[in-house]
Amino acid sequence: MRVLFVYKYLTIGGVETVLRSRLDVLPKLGVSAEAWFLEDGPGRVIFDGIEDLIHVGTIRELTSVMHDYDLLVSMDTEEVFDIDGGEGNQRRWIVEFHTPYRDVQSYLKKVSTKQVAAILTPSEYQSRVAESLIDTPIQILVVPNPLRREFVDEPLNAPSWGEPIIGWIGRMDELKNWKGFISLSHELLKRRRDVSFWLIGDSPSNGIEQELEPLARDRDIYGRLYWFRNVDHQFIPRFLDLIRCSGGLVVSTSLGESFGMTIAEAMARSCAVVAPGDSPFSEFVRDGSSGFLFDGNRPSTAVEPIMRLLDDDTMRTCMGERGREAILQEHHPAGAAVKLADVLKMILRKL
Amino acid sequence: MIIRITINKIRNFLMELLKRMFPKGSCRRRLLLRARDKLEYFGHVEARSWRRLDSLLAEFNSYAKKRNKTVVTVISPVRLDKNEGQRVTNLTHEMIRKDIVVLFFYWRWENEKAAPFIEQRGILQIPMDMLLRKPAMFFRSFSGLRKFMLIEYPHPGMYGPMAIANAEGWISIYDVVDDWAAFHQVGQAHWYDPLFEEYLLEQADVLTAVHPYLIEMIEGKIQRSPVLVPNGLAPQVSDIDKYRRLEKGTITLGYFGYLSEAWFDWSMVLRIAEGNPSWLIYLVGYGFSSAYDQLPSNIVFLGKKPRHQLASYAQNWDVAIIPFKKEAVARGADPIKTYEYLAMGLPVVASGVEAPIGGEKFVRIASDTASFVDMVHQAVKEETVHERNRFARTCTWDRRLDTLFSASLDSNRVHCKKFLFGEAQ
Repeated sequence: MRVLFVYKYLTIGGVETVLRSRLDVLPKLGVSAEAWFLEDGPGRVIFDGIEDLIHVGTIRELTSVMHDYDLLVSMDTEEVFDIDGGEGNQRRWIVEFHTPYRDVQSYLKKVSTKQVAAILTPSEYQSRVAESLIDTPIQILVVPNPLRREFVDEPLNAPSWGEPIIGWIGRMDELKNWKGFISLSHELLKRRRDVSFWLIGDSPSNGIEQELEPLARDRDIYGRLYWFRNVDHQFIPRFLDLIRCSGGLVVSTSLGESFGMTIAEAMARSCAVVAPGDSPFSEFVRDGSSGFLFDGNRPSTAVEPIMRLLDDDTMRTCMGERGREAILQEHHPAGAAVKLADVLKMILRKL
Repeated sequence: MIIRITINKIRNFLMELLKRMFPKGSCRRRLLLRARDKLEYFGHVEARSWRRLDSLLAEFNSYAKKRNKTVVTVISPVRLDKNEGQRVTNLTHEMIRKDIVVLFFYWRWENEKAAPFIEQRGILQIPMDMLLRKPAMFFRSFSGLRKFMLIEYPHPGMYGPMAIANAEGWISIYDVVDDWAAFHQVGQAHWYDPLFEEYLLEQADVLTAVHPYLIEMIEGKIQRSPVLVPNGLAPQVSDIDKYRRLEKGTITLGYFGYLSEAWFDWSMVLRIAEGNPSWLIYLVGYGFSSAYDQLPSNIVFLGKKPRHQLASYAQNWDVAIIPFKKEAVARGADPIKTYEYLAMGLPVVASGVEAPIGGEKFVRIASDTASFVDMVHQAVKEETVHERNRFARTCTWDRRLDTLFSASLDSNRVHCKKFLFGEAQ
C-alpha cells in the first residue's frame, strides 16, 4: 500500500515533524509512505536520511504522479481540491482536517464525495466542526495526534529557576488568545509576586512587540513576563521540564483548538496543566485529576486552580504524573501510527 | 500607540491581501519574488549592505567555530574607538585577545555614516539601527556556539530583539556602568526609559555593576544582587611614547578625561587655582564648556590627546586629580582614569567619587576645596610609586573580563539556559 501525504510548506514545524515520524514508522506497519510539499523551505533538514521519500513540486506536477499511489492525504492543503484527476482520481483522497482557524476551515465546504473517501480529525470536537461544514456524507474518523518522540522520553530534572514559572506556549494570535494570558498574569500577580510568566511564542504578524510591550507595561507584568520569541520546537521538552521543576505549570487561554497539542505536550512532560473547559481539552484533561479546566471565556477563572496548584506541591506533582500517563496511553507515537495505519488500510479496503 | 497598532493592522491586512493575490506555489508568486530580487539587486546600497552582512555573519560563524567557539554581542552606546578608553572598548579588545568573536552594535545618529563592518579581525561592527530592524538575522546566525549578549546601556528598542535572543539561547549580561537615571536628570542620556531599565534588571540572565553604589541601588529595586566588576586598566596606557616636557609649578596637578559640567567640579578647580597661584593645573580632554574660556593663567587646557600620548603628559605631574561634584551622577562612577593614574605611578586626589576597592590607600578623597588642597600637599610627599603601580596592575581588563565571565557561569539563570539549549549553549 502506497500513501502520499501532501502539505503546503516545507518549514521546520510541527506538521513536518509528525510527517517525519510517520515516514519512519508506517513502512514497518505495511504502509509505504512519502510526502509532497507545494513549496520548498528550510524543513528539508527534518528529513535527513530519507530525502528520497520527500518531493517538492507544483499542483500540476503532483497531478502527474498521483496515480502511483493508492491513497493521497491532504493535510489541510486545500489546493489539491482544484485537481481534476478524472475517473482514476475518484475517492482516493483523504483529508486530515486539523486547522482551528474558521476562515481556513471553510475549504472543507469544497470537498466532495467524488474525490474524498474520508476526513480524519484529531478530536471528537474537530469532527463535529467538520460535520457542520460538509453537506455530503463523508466518513469522519478521529485519529489520535502523535506526540513527538522527544516529548515521550522520560522527563529530565532541571536546575532551579528560583520561583514558579507559569508557561504559555503557542502562536500569538487572537484565536490562541495570548492577551488572555497577559490578563491572567496580571490577576495572578495581585495574589502573589514570586512567580515568573513565560510567553513562548511568536506571531505571524509584524510588530507584535509593539502590541505586547505596552500591554505588559499597562498590566504591570513588564519585568515578570519573559518572552521567548519563536523557540525551535526541539527545545520545547526542555522548557517544559524546567517549568515543571520550578514548581510551575502550563496554562492555555486558547479560544479555539482542533486538539490542543501544547497542553498535551506539557502533560507528556509531567507538567501540571490548566486549560479552558471547552472541547477539545475536556477530551483528554480530566478536571481535577490530570489537570484543571476553567471557563475559557473568562481567563480570570483560571486564577483559583493555578493558585491551588502553586500552593500544593503534592497535588501538582500527582496531577503531572497522571497527566503523563493518560496522554501517553492515547497519543504515544507508536500507538498513534498503528491507529493511522489501521484506518488507512480500512479506507483502502472499502474503496 | 493606537496609531502604531492601526498601522500594524493595515500592514497585516495588506500582507494578507498580497498572500491571496500571490498564493504560495503559484506562478504569479514566483514572478513577484523574482521581480523583488531584481529590484533589490539594482536598488540601493542598503540592500547590498544587508547582503554583505549576511555573508559576513556566515564567515564569522565558521571563524568562531574554529577559534574559542564563543560569540559575544556587545550593545554599546559608542563606536569602537581605539582613542577612547571606555569600558566597552577595553572589554571588547580583551575578548578579541581571548579569541572570542564579537558582534559590536553601536549607537549612531540619524544619517550618520556607518563605520566599516570590519576594522579589526574578529570584530564585526554594526550600527544599532540595523540590529533593531532585523534582530533575527543576527541572533539566529550562530548555532552551536556559546552565545553571550553584553548590554552596556539600556537601549529601549531592545525589547523585541531580547525575546529573539532568549529563544536562541543567548545569555544576556546587563552590565550596569552608570546611574542612567541620574544622567538623564542632568540632561544627558535623553533616550533613557526607567521602566525599560527595570525590565532589563529583572530579565537579564546575569547582572554586573561597576560600583558598590550601583549594586546597592539595584538591590533596592529588585530581589537580585549584581556581581561587582569594577573598571580596569589597559596596561599599555602607562607606556610613554616620547618625552613631552611641560612647564612645572611648585606643585603640578593634572587631569585627563571628559570635562562635562554635569560632574566635573569646575568651581572647585577654579578655587584651587586661585588659592594656589604657584601651582599649575593641566587639563587634558574634551567637553570643555565655553563658560570657562577665561581660565586663570595657572590652569592650562591642552585639549583632547590620543590615548597613547597621555602617559607622556602625565609624567610631568606631581599629583593626578579627579575633581568631581558630589552628585548622584558621579556617585556610581568608578573612573577608569584612577587605575590609569596609578599605573603611571601618580598619587591621586579625588572628590565626588570613591577610591577603587583595594586602592584606598593610594587615592585620597576630599570633601571640599580646603581638604582637597591639604590632600594634594600630603600626596606630593607620598613615596609609594611602585605600590601604586603594582595595585593598578592587579586590576587589568583581562582580569575584569574573567570575573565577568565567571559571574556568567555561576548564575542559576545561566544554568537554566544551558539546560534549555543543551549543546547549543
